[in-house]
Amino acid sequence: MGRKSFLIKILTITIIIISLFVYLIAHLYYLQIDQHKELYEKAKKKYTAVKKMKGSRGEIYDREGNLLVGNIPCVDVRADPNLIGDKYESKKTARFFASKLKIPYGKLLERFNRKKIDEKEIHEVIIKNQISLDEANYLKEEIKKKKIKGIFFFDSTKRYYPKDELLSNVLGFINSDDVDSIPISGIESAYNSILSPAQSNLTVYERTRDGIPLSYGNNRFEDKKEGDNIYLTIHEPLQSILEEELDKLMEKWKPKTVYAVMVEPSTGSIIAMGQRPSFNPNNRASMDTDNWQNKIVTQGFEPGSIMKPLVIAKALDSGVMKQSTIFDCEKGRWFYAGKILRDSHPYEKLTVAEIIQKSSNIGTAKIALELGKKELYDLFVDYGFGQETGLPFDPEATGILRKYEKWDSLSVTRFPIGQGILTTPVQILSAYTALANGGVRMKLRIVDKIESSDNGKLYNFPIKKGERIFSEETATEIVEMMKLVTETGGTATKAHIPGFKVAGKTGTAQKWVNGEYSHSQFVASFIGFVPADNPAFVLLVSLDEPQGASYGGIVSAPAFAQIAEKALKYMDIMPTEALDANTAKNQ
Amino acid sequence: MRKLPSLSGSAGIKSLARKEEISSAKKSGIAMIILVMAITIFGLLMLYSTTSTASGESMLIKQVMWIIVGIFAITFINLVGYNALLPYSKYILIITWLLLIFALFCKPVNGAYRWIPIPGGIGNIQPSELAKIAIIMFLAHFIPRNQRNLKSSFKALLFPGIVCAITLMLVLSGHDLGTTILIASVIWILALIAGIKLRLLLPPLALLAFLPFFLKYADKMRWARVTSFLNPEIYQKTIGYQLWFSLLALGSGSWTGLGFTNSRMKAQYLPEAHTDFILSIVGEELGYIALLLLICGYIAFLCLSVYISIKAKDKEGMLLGFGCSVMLALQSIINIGVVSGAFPTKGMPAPFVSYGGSNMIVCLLCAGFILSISNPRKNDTQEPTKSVQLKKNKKASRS
Repeated sequence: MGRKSFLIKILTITIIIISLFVYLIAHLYYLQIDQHKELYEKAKKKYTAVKKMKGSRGEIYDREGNLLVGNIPCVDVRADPNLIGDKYESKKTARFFASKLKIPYGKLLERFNRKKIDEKEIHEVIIKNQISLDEANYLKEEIKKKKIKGIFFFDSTKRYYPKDELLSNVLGFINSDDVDSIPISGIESAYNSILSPAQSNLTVYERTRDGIPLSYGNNRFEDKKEGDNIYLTIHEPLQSILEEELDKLMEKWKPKTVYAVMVEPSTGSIIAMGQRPSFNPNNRASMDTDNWQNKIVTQGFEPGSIMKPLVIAKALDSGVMKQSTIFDCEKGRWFYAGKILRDSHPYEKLTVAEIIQKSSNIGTAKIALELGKKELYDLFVDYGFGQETGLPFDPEATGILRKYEKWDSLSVTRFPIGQGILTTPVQILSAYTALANGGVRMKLRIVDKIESSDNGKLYNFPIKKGERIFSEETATEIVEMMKLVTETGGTATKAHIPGFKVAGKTGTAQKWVNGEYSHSQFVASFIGFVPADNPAFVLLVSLDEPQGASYGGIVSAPAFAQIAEKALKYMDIMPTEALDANTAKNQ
Repeated sequence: MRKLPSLSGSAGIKSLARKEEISSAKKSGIAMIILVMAITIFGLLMLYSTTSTASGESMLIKQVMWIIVGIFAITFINLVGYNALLPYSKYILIITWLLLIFALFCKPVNGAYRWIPIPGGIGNIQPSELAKIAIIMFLAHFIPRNQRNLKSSFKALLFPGIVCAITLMLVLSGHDLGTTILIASVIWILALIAGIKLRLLLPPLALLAFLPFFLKYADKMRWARVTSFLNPEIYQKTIGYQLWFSLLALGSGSWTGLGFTNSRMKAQYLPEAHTDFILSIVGEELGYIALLLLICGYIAFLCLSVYISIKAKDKEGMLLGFGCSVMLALQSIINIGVVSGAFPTKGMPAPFVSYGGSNMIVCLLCAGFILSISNPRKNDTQEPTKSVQLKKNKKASRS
């Protein structure tokens, strides 16, 4: 063994070691270069997560910016079944959440034990959505203590209706207990696409094994796009006044339904709109599905006498008669086309003005006969009957207005008194804006503007141009007549408001029950506007089947006065008339 | 046995040539230590990249602390010279044994009894790391003194054989198969260099070849564990988890990697990303080129230190130097082979790069010994072995 053999040994070993290194270099080349694409893709799958990041839903405000529907922050609790651990851990975790959140244990365990679908790992299952922040903080503490793994808390929001029952039929609600919010009714449903945060928020990000996004990752976080906010034409304070009165009416007359709508005649904007029975969207458990609808839009009714001024205005305008023209009211019984038409009180000769004041059916029918079938049909169309108002409540009723060719011989005498013609309250209101507005009918609107979540810009929903139905002179004439209704000798003296002239009309419609007009079931309405010569609003109050009384003048007119008086005060509208002696004395 | 003093040749050449040789070894030593410094600094950068997002700079600071301890050790070795230290090798080895035994009674980590916690929470001592250098020192000291006997008599092999066997058994009983194999390989290579007859050295190799068969039939669990490296994707949920994520990390890297600090797998996917699997992160962040350069660095280190060992002025230096260089080279090969799925087993830190005080200090000790061999002290007090001395005198008188 010489130095040579010793050197050979050392060199051989060194060379063997170096060749091992070379082998590793080649192996790494195979791994890092040849297999790069395949392995990189597999690696990316491990740490890339896709998640829908939803912004919060748009809020709903009244015209002044009072919040009507908002969001409150809450927390969604999720789990990664692949991080929870083994069967024992799954059971422990399921037991924990079952007891803390009152979720069926079996359901949770099933979710936790299902680690993959079609070979794809599941990384997110719902434990519970929308728990309160306090609850979430408590859970976080407990989880730390109990060493439960794989649980994530995501910030989220929950729909909240701060005014409870107020305006609920207009606002509607969404069901947001599950993954997606399902709009059920009202503005929430009609403007769902505007309120909804953009759906395209698919976020791709790289995360740690615990699910936390990597700051240096190849992340595509799209900005959370919030839903747009909606401003309604509603005045929340006036809405409160109106609904307060509805509650009183409910209690006093125990009707099946009661509703009231207040519209600004110059713009057609709905200022307040309410109905009873209603519901509280924050308390789903007590909700009755029958009460979800906005019946003011979705249900038709026979309006009764409130139809009369509309017909008479048009008749005056067409020139077939004058205000002073006298009609024979047949002492309250008129035999026409094989049927008897009655008035509630027998009258003999009445002027057109008196026909309105006394609400004579016979007088109105005779005026309509003067006008003729086709004219009558046309005026109904002009007023918008039989057509949608376009208010965003589904399914909107259009009422029933058949073509005049299909009318029977009675129609021409019955439709003008609001019988046999099906309309909706909102159609009546839109028609009445013509009376209040100098002959120009306005289309109704309830959404004032939309606030874009992108840039905060406001997009106004324009006031639709009104449609002139009759001349301004006619309007003045008819308003003068309608003032008489609320004055001594009229059918609705109870709608009188001290200091103001009120133009209005009562309506007491018999309900069509079992093939004939009922003598016990009525729809009692009053519609009017005030101040009569420059109205701030048109207000309809209507009760379906009031108990104890049936006349609009008795049931609805006082409520009208109550609401209108408070509203005028709130709106700061000065009395136009000198207060009469009695009231003055009292003050 | 005339040809016996083969190792002393280098010391016996003409003084001029010898001076030249020494100065070239000196240069190699400087190059080697610069290389070690470079790899260590690179390791610190990678450690920072791997751990900073999760735990800030605390690990980096600890590692720097250990490196400073290592630098002191290198300085000490080079001040006193390796020859002054080798006589203590038997005590060092005995202390190592005691520590290895002590570790068996400490709290196991991941089922392995490798660590002794240092009070105060500074870290852990890993006696199996110490065993690596202790056994090399022991053999480097023992072999030259008994070379003649070792070659001729089988009995003489008994003592060193038992010492080695005890060391290996103790390391293995700490469930550290990787280190056991590494130490065994180094012992085998040193025995070969020492001139032990091949017929004595081959049987253990045969035994090694038999081991797989033994495992396959006797210990199916371990066999599955060992062979899982062949197909880590299938076992990615269980025993192949670590390796599979290591392969994903390496595969993600391609030529230039995802960029410094941009590793994805360090985000809790790859366990031990800062220790045994740090090279996976290197491959992921800096790509194939960086690993290639690092391997070239290891090869250069090997070549330089083997050169230094050959030029050692005595047999002790040669064995110590060669043992250290081979040990570090094999350790890097096992480490790279394991993280890249070329070999089975696990639990081997990358020299100078992986986080871990014991390993870092032992690696630096090795570098320190090699540096000391490249630059021996002129008035070394250590008495050369007799045979070497004789030969030296002969040659000196001739010149």
